[in-house]
Amino acid sequence: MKKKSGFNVKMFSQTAMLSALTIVLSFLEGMLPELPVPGAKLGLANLAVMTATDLFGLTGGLSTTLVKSFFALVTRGPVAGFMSLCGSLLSMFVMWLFMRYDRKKFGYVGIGVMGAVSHNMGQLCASFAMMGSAVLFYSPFLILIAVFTGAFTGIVNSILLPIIRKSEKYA
Amino acid sequence: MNNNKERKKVTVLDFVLIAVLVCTALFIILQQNKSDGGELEVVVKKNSEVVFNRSLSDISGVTEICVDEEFNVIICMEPDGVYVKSSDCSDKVCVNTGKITKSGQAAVCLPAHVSVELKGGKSEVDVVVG
Ligand SMILES: [Zn+2]
Repeated sequence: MKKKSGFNVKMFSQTAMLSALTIVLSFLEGMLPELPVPGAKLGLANLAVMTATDLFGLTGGLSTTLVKSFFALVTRGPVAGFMSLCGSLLSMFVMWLFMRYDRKKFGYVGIGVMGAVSHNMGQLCASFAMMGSAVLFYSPFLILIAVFTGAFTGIVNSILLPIIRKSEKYA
Repeated sequence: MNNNKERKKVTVLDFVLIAVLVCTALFIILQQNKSDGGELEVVVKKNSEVVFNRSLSDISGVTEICVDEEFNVIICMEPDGVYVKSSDCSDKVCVNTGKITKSGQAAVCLPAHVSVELKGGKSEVDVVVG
């Protein structure tokens, strides 16, 4: 029992830390030049969402996703907040599904790419709902951008996650 | 149960996934850039509602329309193509898209909820969304 409550405290503090990390990454991303695709973001903050989803499942994924979307809502307005929410929720859910059920057939890079592609497709669906068919023109560019950012996210997590898990064992 | 084994950094399946995605994207780009000598139609939308619709061949000289009062999105139409001349939006993605000249291409101003697209031509893909 004691061990379980200790784990929950750790889970809470680590999720809070990863949520804070999504804000830092979103902020850094905001300073980069705009991509030539409307509404598209590099998705650096997705990195911490992937870490949280891997460590704590849906709970971790949802917490970081909501914090990230709330940050977008406050800093970039309701449209960006809505787009962020659609993209991140879909992305987090897809990553969670594959982490749970793929029996490790995919690597971290594959999970990262799937997360990034679904993030951008979720955003595309949101802008499709708001603006109509014109936004579909950007779908191939969104896919290509996602392959790069997703691979990056996956590589960083392939280094980060084993370190976190190892430190957990000796804590 | 399978928690004891760490996930690999990258697997064969990852490369297959990336290859499929890149091929899909390139295929769509190729489709979009098929040159078609047919009639082109300019469709301007605000909040996904059509506010301007005209065949490009009916446009003589240079025509400019202002779509959104708040953001002053000015769309410039020429016989060979359309572009967003200026917009008071923050990102300027719409203006930086440049001139669109082929069927299926579009310029979008997300902050103003305004889009311009070219439709028609010989390309058989003509999706009508109700
Ligand atoms: Zn614009």
